[in-house]
Amino acid sequence: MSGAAGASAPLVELRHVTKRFGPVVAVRDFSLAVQPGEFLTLLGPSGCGKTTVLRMIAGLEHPDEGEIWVDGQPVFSWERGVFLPPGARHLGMVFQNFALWPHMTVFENVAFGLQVRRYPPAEIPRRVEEALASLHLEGLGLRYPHELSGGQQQRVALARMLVTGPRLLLMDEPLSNLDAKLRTAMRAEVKRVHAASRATTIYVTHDQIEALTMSDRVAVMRAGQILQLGPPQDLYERPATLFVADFVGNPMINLLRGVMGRGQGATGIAIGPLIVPGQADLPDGAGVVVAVRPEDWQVGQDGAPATVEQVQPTGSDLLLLARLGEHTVLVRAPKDLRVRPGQAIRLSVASHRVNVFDPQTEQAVPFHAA
Amino acid sequence: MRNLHGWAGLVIAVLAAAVVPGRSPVLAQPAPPPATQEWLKAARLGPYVEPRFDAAALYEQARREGAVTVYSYSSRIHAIGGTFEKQYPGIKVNAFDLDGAEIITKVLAEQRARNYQADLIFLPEVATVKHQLMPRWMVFNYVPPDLVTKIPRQYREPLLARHFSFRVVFYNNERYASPPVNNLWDLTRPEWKGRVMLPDPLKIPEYLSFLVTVVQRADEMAAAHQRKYGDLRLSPGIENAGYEWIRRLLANDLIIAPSTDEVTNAIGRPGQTAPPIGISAWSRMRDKVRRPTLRFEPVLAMEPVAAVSDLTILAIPAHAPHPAAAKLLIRWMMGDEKGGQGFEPFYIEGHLPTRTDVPPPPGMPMLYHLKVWDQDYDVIWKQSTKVREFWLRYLR
Amino acid sequence: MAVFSPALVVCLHRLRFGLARPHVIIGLALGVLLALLVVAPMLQLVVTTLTWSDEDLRAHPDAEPGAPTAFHWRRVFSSEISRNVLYVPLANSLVTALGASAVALAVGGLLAWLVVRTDVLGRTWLQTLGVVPYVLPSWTIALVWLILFRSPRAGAGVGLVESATGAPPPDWLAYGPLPIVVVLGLHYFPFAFLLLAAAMRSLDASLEESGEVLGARGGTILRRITVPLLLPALLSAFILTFSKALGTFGTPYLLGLPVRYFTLSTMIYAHIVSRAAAGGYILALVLIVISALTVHANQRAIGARRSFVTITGRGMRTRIRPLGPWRAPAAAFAWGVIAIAVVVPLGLLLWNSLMRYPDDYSLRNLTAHFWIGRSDPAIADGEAGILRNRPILGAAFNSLRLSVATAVLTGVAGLAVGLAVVRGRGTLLAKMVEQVSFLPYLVPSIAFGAVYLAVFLRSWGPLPALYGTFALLVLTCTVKNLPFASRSGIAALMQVSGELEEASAVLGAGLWLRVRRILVPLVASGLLSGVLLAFISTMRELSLIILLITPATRTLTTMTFRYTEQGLPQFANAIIVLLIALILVGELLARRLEARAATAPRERGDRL
Repeated sequence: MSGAAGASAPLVELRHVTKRFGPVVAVRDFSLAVQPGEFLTLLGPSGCGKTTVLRMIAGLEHPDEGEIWVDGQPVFSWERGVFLPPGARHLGMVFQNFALWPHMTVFENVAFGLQVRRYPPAEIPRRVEEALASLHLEGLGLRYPHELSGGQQQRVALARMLVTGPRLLLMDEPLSNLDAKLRTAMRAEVKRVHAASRATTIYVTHDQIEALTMSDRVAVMRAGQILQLGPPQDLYERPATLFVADFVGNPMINLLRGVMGRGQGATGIAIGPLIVPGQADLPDGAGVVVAVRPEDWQVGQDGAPATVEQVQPTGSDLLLLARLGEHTVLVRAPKDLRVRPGQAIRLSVASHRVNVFDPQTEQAVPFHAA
Repeated sequence: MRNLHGWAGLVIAVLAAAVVPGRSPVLAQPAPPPATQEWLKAARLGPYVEPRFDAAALYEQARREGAVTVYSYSSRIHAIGGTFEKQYPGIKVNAFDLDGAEIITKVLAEQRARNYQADLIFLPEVATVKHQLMPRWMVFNYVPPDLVTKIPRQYREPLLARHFSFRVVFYNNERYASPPVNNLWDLTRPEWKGRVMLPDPLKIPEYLSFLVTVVQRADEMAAAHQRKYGDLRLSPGIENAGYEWIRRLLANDLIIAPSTDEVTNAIGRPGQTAPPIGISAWSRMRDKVRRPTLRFEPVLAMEPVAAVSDLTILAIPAHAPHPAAAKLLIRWMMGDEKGGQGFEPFYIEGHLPTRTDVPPPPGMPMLYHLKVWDQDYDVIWKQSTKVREFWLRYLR
Repeated sequence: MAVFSPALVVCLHRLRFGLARPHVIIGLALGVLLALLVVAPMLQLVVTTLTWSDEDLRAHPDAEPGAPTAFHWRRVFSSEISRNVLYVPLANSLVTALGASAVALAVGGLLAWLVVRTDVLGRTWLQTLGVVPYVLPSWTIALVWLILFRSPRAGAGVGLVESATGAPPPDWLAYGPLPIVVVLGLHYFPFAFLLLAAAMRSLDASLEESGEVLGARGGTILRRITVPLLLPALLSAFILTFSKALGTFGTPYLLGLPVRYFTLSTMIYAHIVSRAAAGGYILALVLIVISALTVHANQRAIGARRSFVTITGRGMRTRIRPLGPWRAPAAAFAWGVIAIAVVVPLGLLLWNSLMRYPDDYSLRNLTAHFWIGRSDPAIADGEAGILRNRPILGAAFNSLRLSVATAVLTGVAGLAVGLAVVRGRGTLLAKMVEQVSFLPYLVPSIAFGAVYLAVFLRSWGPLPALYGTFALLVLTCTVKNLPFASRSGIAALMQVSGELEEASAVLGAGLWLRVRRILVPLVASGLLSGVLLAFISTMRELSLIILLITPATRTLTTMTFRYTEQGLPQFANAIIVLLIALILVGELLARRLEARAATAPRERGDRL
């Protein structure tokens, strides 16, 4: 078994975990190892099973099969008949809706975990004050949750999670209930909390920006399984499946139908009038899906002819909708480019920037410049 | 409710096993069960009863018991309880007035549940006590030894009867200078339609017994009809003159009352132009003391009978927790040769003591001056259900 | 391990892990309790009707007690007495229950409309007083009816109408279906009033206004828009009134017996007191079936429509309609209803309790004897006034402790059912608990009492023979009140996001700590309404416990019933006034408690 000691012994490990809700399989044969101190994000659309995985680690759900280990100790195992209740797993958790107890003050909310864990009563106020101070909540101890702003509520939830000093932090879409501006600020806050506490963190979100900006590694999930696990940059640049390519990245990636072919003396993929040179292990004439990030287009003298249909200045750059043969493509161009709708331009893309997928299997197909 | 079907079968299967046993009814047995024997011995009842009545010794024991719980068919028990508590300080009387049927139901329930509360029952339900409670050793007779010679045998065996009560027909003597009826069959005549009252026989067993006695005396009923109205023609399917009378009574828009005093109060209210008549307890005459404006009198010149008598008995339920106090209270309630405080609330017109050494209460004629039917408790036991079903059948 | 088959291991683990979850334990415990206290007694009842009892030996000497027989069913369904025992009372029950529901819906609906949608005089007061008839014991208005219309048929004096006019009121006005329908309707209209007022309040005026803009007339709007939108509330009010009226005993007995007008409930009572229990149980089963069918039909009718009650949401306006020239007649109607159902009953009861002779309404007849008099042999068989009367004060104490115990237990049970159902949502166990906890609702009160009497005469499963104990009364009232308590428990817990509890579980709080520190404070105010309802309905309960009461466990309601029967209405009425005072004090205390609890802010997190 892989639970052996070693420098890289995972802090959390799920082995072949399956969870069903009635006839629905929420999590299917799920295995994952999270390294100590790591910030790992489970990313996926709603209903993909990411929250269920988190809740199984917390002990709030019972898997139907498999084992879960935390810190070298099984917290759940069918075979061994082990189930540690949530409180015995010594972890901290933040819920999507903060789950602050409305009938308790901020102080009481934060102090609850210390009381439950029977900290000396004299010590509790000091620890609570420290936790509140570390989240810039000084002076708010006597308020009730509904008297706080959304950001403050979120910080109280973080303080409540951190105050008992858990080694493992679980966060279930903690920022989804905040407005966009606050969310950016809280991302930094969460990151800071992680850095300061050095606690292993498993973070669940459907927001790929959160996933990419905060994580050491991201696991993209769909239908109860991991499609791809890796550092954010890998996910972004080398998505393993069409789904990952589509799900990760903003603005949306261009998915274009192309055909493997040989023409004008070079092999490549024809996307309408555009040829992306390169080789793949596919027969000529095979249909493929080519994924091109909007910022990877080059607008210039070379390339295939295209017509600008719409110009959307975002401030930092321009988003163009351009007609490329039968396709409409999204192009991110420098903000100083002077174009108008109807104007003819030329588009090209570097071969190493495209990702090619088999439309049947939706898996990536290796493609490289000749 | 759609989801019910799935698990209902399972639950039924599991529980069916639990339901069926525990149903064995308590049946008559040749001898009291051992636990009851023990209690009888301790309580000095049944075969172990003291040969002599020693009031002082009994009081001593009763005081140690401290209280006595009595279920009485009459609210007058409260007054008796008061005089008893004065006579025998230290013994608290917990008196509850209930319908006779309620008393039976409760004693049965207490005996089956082994939750013994009553020490003494005081009720006119002789048939049921004799035929249902006694054979199951749920109730025991106690005759104070000093009274054995003063009470005819049939009034102390198998159960001690304290007094007679009488069901009579009442009329309003303000509106009518003399009784407007003189025959039970008059009550079924059109001129009394909607103006005859009877306490609910389903609820008050004395009146079901009254109806049973009427059925039992069907021949005399028929004769009475013959004398006043000629030959009685029975309606189709009606067995005898007794049933015929009940049927006609119901068909004459009989008013059913929830209690006996509802009847006498309605009859006796002054200032009526068309007061009702009705059957009630003779002892309701005392209501006229309570409310002097009431004007009602019994019809004593009634055919074929003036009054149907019934006995009111005293008995001690098995395992009564305060048996000595119960005995003492029985003795107190039996009164003395002048009536006595323990008898007093019943020493009124409408009752007669069973003690032969006590003169009739003031205003009460001697029994032999009256046409009275004594109830036959064996017949009542056997026929009550049949008469009840007949009553239900012709209720409307 | 190896000796066990994997399937068995999985089974055992499933059990083990299941038991680690509190809502599963609670659900299982509740399942067992409900099976024992609800399902099994009903089965026992059925079994009893299918066996000979020793009572049957009287008329059927060859019957073998305990042996199976269809005799009782034949007797009730197809014998010479079936007509009077089953069919006529059944028809009467349906007529009075339907009539009472119609009266209740009409009065309650109109009152609700006036209070919510119009500028009728004294809206706030109407709103408060409109609920009071439900607080009064169900037969109070029947007593008032007798005070007004009493005729020689019911003995004990003459009514006000005859006093005033000199002529006795006709029987059809004094007794029988008409007064029963009116009296029950006036007693039960608060259901319709409360439900319809709430529905009207949540009905956005713009829904009606958009109809108006399209040119629809008032009548069309009422018929095509308002009534369909209110239909779920109307149906709920109907079903509540109908099944309550079906099971009620006091009113039809007092107003029906003198003219031999029997309903199923009074016929059940007659059977049980005349010791034909099996027949009574069969009639009780008939009532249960009717109730169940009605509720089922109601669920089907509402099922498809429920969705649009919820679409209304927040930010609505209700429009107050000026009544104009109709203001005076509308106020007269509304206040007339309150007068008839609240003020006059209370006033007459009080007055009557102060009368020396029950039919003399003159001032010189006034006496305080029935309240504070010492024992006087000349009055009421020597019974002392109720405030000096030990049995009555004892009964008052019994009523209070029964109601408080029932209310507390009901609250606990409601919370437990809520936990098992809400936290275990979707599981078979949760569904079962939810459904069974609703069953007592289907059983009319008098039948429910009959079932418990039959079952608890003997020891029952692990329970001892409870007949005659106070515990049995508490148990009966608790189980009978369970449906409302469970509903409010489920509703209250639905509003508390599971995360609030999980957040504490993650921090290591055990079940008891979670319940005490998180759940109870959060659901307390939601549960309180169910608890208060249980308190009130137990205080004024008669039908349910009339068969179970023993001398030592008498309550005020059974005392007043008894005094009414004995022709001592002054006592009965004084006791009812005392009872109402106790209920109002209890309610006031509960509201005070709630207000104090509410001083701590109770916004409930985001998901609420």
